[in-house]
Amino acid sequence: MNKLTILERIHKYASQNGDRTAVFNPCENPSGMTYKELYCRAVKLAEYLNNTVNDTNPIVVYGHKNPYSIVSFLACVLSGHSYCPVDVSVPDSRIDMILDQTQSGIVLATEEFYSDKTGVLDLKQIVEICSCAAETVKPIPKESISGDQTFYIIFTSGSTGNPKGVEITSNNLNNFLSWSSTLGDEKPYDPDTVFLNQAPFSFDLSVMDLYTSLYCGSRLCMMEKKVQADLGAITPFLRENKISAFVSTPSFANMCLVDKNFNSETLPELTRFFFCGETLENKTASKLIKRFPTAVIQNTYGPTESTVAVSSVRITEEIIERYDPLPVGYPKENTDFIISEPVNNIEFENGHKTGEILITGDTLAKGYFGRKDLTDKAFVLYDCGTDKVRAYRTGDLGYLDKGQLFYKGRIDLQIKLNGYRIEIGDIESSILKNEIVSACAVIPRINSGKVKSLAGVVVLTDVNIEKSAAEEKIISELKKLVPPYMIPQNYIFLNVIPMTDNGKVDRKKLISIIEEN
Amino acid sequence: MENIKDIVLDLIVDICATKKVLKDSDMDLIKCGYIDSMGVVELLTGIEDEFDVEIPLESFNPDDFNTVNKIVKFVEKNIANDGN
Repeated sequence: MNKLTILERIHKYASQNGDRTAVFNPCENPSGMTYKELYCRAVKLAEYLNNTVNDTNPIVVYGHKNPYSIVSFLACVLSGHSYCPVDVSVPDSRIDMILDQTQSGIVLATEEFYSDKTGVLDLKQIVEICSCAAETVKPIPKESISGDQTFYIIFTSGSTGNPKGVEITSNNLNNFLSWSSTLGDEKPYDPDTVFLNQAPFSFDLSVMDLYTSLYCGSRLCMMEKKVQADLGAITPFLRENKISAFVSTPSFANMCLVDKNFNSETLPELTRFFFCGETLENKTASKLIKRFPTAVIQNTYGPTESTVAVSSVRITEEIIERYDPLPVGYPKENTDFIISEPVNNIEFENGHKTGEILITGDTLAKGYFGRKDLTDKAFVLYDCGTDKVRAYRTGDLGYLDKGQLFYKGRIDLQIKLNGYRIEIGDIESSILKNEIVSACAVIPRINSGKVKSLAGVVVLTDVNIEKSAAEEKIISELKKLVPPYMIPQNYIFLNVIPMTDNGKVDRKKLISIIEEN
Repeated sequence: MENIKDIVLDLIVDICATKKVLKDSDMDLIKCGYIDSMGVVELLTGIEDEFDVEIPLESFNPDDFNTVNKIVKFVEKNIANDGN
């Protein structure tokens, strides 16, 4: 059973206990699908794709939390196509940039979507095709994605404003799952486990819940963003749907903690927490343990480029007491951390050599889709004395203490805001597209080591433009280009952007200018 | 000694990242983009930590929490109830 891939496992569950619920969204009607339904519908949709799509380009799957999104993902891979998940929060212009790269022969859309770049199969058509699904569980099609073929591509923020697609192979995913399915295995997973899916599918955090759940034959419960927006609705949702494995960013946990009923009395089924995507603060971990004294809490770390996460540590009261910030854990099997020198000097932090974190191992992505230039820069051959090994340069700073990794920030202008990965240059180049802007810089506002908000420093083409009107125009144009979380909340207008002697933006000076305001 | 109002105003300015929000105490902070849902969570947590008080979610109505004046009133009411 251990050697079975994710597709083989789904096939097995569909064949053996096919009437078990695989995935469900309580806000949809009908809310869920069984393993048999999921697999057979995916096979049917894959057959349709084989008959209508003549290329093997990646296929964009657009939507939010409809169960047919998952059918679509599987249909793509069963028909020999990688898929590219795109959530409804991504603006059209960004989707166009993605489609320009993927050259998808079709888009599978489970929410309303229109494109003039390629054909779109909407939900009604998808459901209709799937309604003719076979009653029997057919074998996995021979053209299915396997081995080193790309399983999914997740597009992340690019520093020049063009998103870059991380290609994760079937091997990467299966290597990740053989580890993730054992995390927190003091309480192992079984068909009765209910995983929470909080993250949109365009974020690879969702891979942790979606595929770990399918891998273990468990049930996946998808929480839509409208439920997440209502603070009082979250705990009742978790209770009604008997969530037992909670996978989210620490920011979402903070939202849950506002409700005093978010505790083990109200939620007796909730016994495991997995965090990834951003720093887990001691304060949050401490509150969580108080509310759920016997739960298993795992802090995990890893970039999209090494398939969701590569290290984890169980967080206990003792660890919270001992370390601030918390460690991000020991690397999984077949993965190693290397601390190399960053661009500047080797720093010593409490006697630890701090440098750039490099990752080697069996979950390293193939590279960036269609971008050999970026791939070669980020995925290097690292000389570790006796051998040269392929390693990914994370751009994260950190140090190892007795084999355990501690994260100490970035060496570049990439930030995490509420778990979202953002390249500052991405926002800056988008603001610059506005005709009234002649120069700009985006400064993240940091409080206690965490990015709290973004400020935009702008030089207008015409100094006479009224400031609040300018701000409105900048924001409204940005809404068309980037997702909401990438839009700075505050704006300062200057006559010129201060520069350092090296001719770079003097960000330190800008930070102090902003503090003064 | 700082009074309740001053502490709350400091908290709001800190989370909204600008003193501009003090100019109009009846401005809808959410509609005007000074605070988002994550910020509201931070504000509630900040108030609980600052005043060592528990805010029951049942008593929380987002419509009573979207301007500087309403937030101050909300805090004053909840501290009174807590017997502080």
